[in-house]
Amino acid sequence: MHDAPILDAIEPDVTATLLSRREAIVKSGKASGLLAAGLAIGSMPVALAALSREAYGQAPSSVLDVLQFALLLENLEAEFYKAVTGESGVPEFNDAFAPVRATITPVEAATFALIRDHERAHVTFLQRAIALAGGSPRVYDARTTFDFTGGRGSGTGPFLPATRDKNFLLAAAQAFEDTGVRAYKGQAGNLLGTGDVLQAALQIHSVEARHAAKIRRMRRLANSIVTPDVRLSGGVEGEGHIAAGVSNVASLPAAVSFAFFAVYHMEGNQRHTVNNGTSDVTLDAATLPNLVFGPDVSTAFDEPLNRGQVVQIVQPFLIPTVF
Amino acid sequence: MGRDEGTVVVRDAADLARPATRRAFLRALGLGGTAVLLPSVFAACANDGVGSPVAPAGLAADVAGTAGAAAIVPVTLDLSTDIGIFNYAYALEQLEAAFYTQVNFTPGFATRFSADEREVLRELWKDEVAHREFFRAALGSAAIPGLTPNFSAVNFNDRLSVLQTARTFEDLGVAAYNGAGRYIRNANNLLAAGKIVSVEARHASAIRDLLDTTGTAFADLGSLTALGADPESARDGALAPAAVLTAAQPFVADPITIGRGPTTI
Repeated sequence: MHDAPILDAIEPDVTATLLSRREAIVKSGKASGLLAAGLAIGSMPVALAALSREAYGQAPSSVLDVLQFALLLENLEAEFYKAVTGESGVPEFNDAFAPVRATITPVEAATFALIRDHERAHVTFLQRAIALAGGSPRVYDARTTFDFTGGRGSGTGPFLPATRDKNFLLAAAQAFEDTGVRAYKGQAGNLLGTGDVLQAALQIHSVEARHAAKIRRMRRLANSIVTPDVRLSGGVEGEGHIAAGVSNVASLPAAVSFAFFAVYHMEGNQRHTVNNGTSDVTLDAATLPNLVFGPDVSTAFDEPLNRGQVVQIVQPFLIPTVF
Repeated sequence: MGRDEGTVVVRDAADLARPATRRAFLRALGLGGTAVLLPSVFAACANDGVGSPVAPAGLAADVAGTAGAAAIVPVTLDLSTDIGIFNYAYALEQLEAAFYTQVNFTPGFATRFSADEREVLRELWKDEVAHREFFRAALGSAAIPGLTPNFSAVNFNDRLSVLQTARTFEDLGVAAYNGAGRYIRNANNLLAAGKIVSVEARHASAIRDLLDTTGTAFADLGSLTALGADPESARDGALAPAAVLTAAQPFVADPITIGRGPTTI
């Protein structure tokens, strides 16, 4: 180990204290904001520099739980798009999506490939971040972990039509992306003050939002959706079925309908709380002045989901042993 | 607000082609004042399912006598507090809102852009005005003044110039929020910023898609490295406030400086 020379160069006077405390901090599975910041940018010296701050007794706060939660969601997304594009390590997954894959145009295939590569990169990034933070990134075996039909392992769940019907596939992809956006947003508060970790999460969050908007545009432009519920701007208008814009999906199973409701629950919220330095104030966006198309500006504000809500949404796609 | 933003009456879209009216209009409607849009204006705006614009309420007063009176006011931001970070966001949202206001009211909007483009540009206008008004309301008396935009580099009569400028603003907005989140001290404020940044990312995606035939421009992170994106880990742009303001300053007449910089929490 070369820890001591590095630490001496950073903050020589605390090295001895640090070396005795470092193991305890890492073993606790918790990392403070400063520590995690160094870890997330992949720099061990920076991480160790942060650890030197820990030595003075600031209570470490956990970000590992958030990162592990994000890793699960990114794995789910990455494996989904790998299956859609025929690159899953599980041949049965590739075979299952072959019918819908045959209907995807080359330009649409380029979009799916880019999104797949992004989700895969997010998985790798989170694995590294967790390892550097002293945790063990959980490894998910796609075959025994995921069921993209939403059947909890049965392989015949209500999302099975996504393997055959492009409209259905795109609706499912939109739901996955928007759930991802809402999940990261819901965890932001848990990363408050963590510097680079928060920033990295925000950088992933906005990439997911770019994906979600693109999927919406694909649905609207390719599938002759009659109602404009799916906005070309990529925004989320309203909640439940309206926000999902599933009017172009034939024979929507009740379980899918329920799932979309959960994905977009409260997206129509117009009340947003801010803190002005002394107290919390809740503003009703509908009453703001100068709004140019009336009081519904729900597209201008995306809403979070808490962890429990996200788990409820993704649980059907996970084989029960995961949780 | 520290000074009267004035009230502007716009009788028809062609008024906006006149520099004096346009300037007063942008300052008033686009930047936080009050403007009254007479019904004749809306004849120029195609309805694309977004709904008809609602003329903002306000006292009627003719613009002719006050056009050009708006002063250039230096703005200094204190980024060591959440209020300062919100004012920073407010400045950027003012810029975006003013841009889309002018895009939507420049004569020829209905023929310059496709139906797809019109829907996007109208909805982005709606969203950015909502963001601007949200920050203005949140900041109350702590808000910086209304800024005066400088869109001299934009040709509003040219589709490509408009869409490329929109792309610049949206990508910059995403990078700005992503880079400022770490300096926000209050969880509610962080969440509020988070509610907005993903909408900016949706905008960026849509605008990029309008300029694309490959199916990949919406999230072409390799083109965003100057804004702090990392393609290898598929992370979007994130830029420190000083760099964002350097990029935004050419579009704002008022000089914006950072008095106290952001501080680590």
